[in-house]
Amino acid sequence: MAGTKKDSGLKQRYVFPFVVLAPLIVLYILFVYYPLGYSIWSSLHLWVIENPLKSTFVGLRNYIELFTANPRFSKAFSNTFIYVAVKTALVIPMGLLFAALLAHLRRGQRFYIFAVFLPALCTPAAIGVLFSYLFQTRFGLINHILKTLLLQPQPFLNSPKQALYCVIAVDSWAFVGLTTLIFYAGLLNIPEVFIEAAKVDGAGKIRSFFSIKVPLLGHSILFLSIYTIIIAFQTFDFLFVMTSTGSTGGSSGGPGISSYVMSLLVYNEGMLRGQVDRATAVATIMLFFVLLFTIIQFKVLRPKWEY
Amino acid sequence: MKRLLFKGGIVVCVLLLIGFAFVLIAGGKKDGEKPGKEKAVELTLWCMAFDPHVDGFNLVIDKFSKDHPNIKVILEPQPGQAEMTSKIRSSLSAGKGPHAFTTTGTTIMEWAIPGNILPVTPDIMSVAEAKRDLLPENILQCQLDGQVWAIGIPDSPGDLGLAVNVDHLKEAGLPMVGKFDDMDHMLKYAKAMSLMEGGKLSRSGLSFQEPNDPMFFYSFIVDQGGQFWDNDTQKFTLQTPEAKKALQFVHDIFFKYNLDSTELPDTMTAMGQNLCSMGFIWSEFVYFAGLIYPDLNFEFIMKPSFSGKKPAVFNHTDTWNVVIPAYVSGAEKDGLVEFLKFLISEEGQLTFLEDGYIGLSPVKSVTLENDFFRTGPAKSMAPVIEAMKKGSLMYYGPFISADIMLYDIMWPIINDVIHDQISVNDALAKMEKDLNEANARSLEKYPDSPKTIIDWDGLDL
Repeated sequence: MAGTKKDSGLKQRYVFPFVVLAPLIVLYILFVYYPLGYSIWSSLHLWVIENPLKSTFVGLRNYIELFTANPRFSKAFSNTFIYVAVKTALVIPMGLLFAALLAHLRRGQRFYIFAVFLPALCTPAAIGVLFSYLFQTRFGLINHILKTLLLQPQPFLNSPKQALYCVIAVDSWAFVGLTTLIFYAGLLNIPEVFIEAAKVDGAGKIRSFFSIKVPLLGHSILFLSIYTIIIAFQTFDFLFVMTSTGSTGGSSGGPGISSYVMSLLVYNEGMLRGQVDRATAVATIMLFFVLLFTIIQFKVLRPKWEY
Repeated sequence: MKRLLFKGGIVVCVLLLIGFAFVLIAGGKKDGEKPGKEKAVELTLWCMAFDPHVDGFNLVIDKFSKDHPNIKVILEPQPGQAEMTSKIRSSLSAGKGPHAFTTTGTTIMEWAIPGNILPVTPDIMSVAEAKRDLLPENILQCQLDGQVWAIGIPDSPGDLGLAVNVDHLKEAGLPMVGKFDDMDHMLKYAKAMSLMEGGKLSRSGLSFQEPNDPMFFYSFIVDQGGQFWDNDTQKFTLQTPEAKKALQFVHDIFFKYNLDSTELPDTMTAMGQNLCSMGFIWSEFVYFAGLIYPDLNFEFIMKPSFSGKKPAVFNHTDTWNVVIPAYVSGAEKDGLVEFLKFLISEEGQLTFLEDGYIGLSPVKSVTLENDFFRTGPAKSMAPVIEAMKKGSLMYYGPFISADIMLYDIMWPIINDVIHDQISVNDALAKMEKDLNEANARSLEKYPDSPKTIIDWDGLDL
C-alpha cells in the first residue's frame, strides 16, 4: 500500500510537468521543430515548389554550390559578417557611452532617455523610408548639409560602396537606444559602495568607470553582444526598404548585389523566385552561425565579475 | 491536493488539445457543397495591383456581369509582381488560391509541367483557334503537350521604345515624333533634354535604369544580326561582338554620352520626380503615369534600330496571361470558362482598353486591324504594329527561370556595369556563365520542359 502511494507520488512528480507542458511541446513541434526539420530536408533537395513530390534528393549539393558557385551568396555572406561586426562595434560602445553620460546627468534624465530610446520604438520600415529620403542624392537633407558645409555630396544609397554602410548607420542609430537603456539600468544597479571604495583607493572617474563599472556590467555586455549579433545576423527590414531597386520584378539588395545579406537572399530566393532549396540552405547556414556565435560568446565572454 | 492538481492539469491539457484540434479542423478546406449550375457562382481572380490591369479587369467584369448575373467575378489585386508570383506558387502548392490568376508568361511552364494548372484548350478555345486568332508569342510561351495553358490580356512588348516627358521636349524646342529614325536621332533628343548642374547631370536625357531593361540589351544584339542563344547547344552565347557593342552602348550612356547617372534614381522614379526626360521603359508606363502623376505629361516614342542594318526588333517574352488553377471544376469551372471566353473575345479585349490603356491585345484582329491602334487612343502604337507586320516582333524563350535570369542575373550585372564596377567584357563572361548555370539548374528541376528554340527571323503574323 505504502509502495503504491510512493509510486503515485513519483508519477505525479515526474509525469505532471510533462503533462502540463504537453500543449506547449505540441505547439513547438508543430510550429518550430517540424518546420525546421522540413526546411533542412528541403535544402537537401532540388525542390520543386509547385509539386514537392517531384523533388530530387541531392545531398549537400545546394550548400556546396552556394559556397563555390554563387556570387550572390558570397556577397551576402561577407556583407552579413560586415554588418554584424560594424553594428556590434557601434552600438555596444555607443550605448555604454550614452548610458554613462545619462548616469552623470543631474536633471532631465527621463527626457534624454526618452529621446535616445525613441527611435527603437519606431517601425524599421518607417525609419527606412524616412532615411531613404534623407540619403537621396539630389534632394536629400544630408547632402544639402554637406553642400552647406562645402563638403562633397555623396551618392549614399546609389553607391555600391556606400549603400550597405548607410543602412548599418541607420540601423545602429535606431538600435542604440536599446543598448543605452539596458546599460543605464545596469549602471544604476551598481552599489555605490564599490565606487566609494575605489575613490578611497584613489581611482578617478575614468579609472573607476573602466575598472569597476564596465566589469560589473559584464552580464549586460554579454547579453547585448549576443542579442546584437543575433539581430544583426537576421537583419532584413532596413535593407529591404532602403535598397529596393526599380519598379518591376527587381529585388532589394542593390545597387546590383552590393548590399545583399543572407536574410535578404533567403527572401529573394525563397519568396520571390521560388528557389526554396537554395533559400532553406542559406537559412540553415544562418542558423548554424547564430548558434555558433551564441555558444562561443557564452563560453568565452562569461563575465568574471559578479556582485 | 497534488492529485487534484494533477487531474486538473490533465483536464486542462486535454481541453487545450481538443481546442487546438478544432482550430486546425476549422481552418481546413471547406469543400462542402459545390454550387450547381442554377446557383450563383462566385469566382476569384487575382491580378497584379497595377492600375492599368485593375482598371481593365474591372471594366471587363462590369460588362460580363450584365449578361451573366449569376456569375460573380471578384477581382483581388495583389501587390508587387514578384510577391504576387510567390503568392501564387504557395497557393498552388497548397491546393488553394483563386480560381484564376494573371501571371507573366515566363512563369507558365513552371506550373504547367508539374500539372498545377489546367489548359485553356479546348474549353475556352481550341489549339487551332488559338493559333489562328492569337498573336504567336502568346502561344509559344504557353504551349506544352499539345495544349495551350493561358490566354492573354492587353500588354505590349517590354522593349518597344521610350517614354518621353513632352514638357521637356517642348522646353528643348524639339518636335514630338512617333519613332526615332536612328540612334543619332535619339541621342540628339536625349542630349537636348539633359540638364547639368555644377558639372553633374541633374536631369537624365536617356535613362537606362529599369530592371526590365536587359530586354532592350537582348534586342540590341539581335537587330545587329547577332544571337545570344545557341539553338543547337541550348546555351547562352554572350561573348560576341554584337553583345559587346550592345553592352558598351549601355555603358556609354553613363560614361561617354553623360546622359544618365547612377546618382539619379531608377527610370520610373526619376520620371515621376522630373529627374528624367526620356527613358527606356515599357510603353504602359505612359498610361500608368497619367494616373499617378497627373501633372506630368508623357508620350511614347518607338525606339530606333540599334545597328541601322535591320529594322529595330522588339520582343514580347513576358506577356501577361490569365491562367486557371488545376483544382477548378464543376459549376466554378463552367463560370470561369464563360468569363475567360468573354475576356479573350474582341469585345472583351476592347473593353479592357476602354479607359485608354494602350497595351497591345493578344487577339490578332484587335491589334492588327482595329482602329483603336491606328487612329484611336492608342495611335502611338501604329509604327509598332507596322514593324510587327514586317517581322520585328521576337520571342526569346521559353526559359523556365526567366525571372531569375532577368532580375537576379542580367540586371544586377548590368547595374555593376553602369556603376563602373566591372568591365563590359567581364560582365558578358559573367552573365553568360550565370545564365547557363541558372538554365541548367532549371532544366534539372523540370526535365520535361520544352527545348528553347528562338526564331531569329522574327515571328510570322
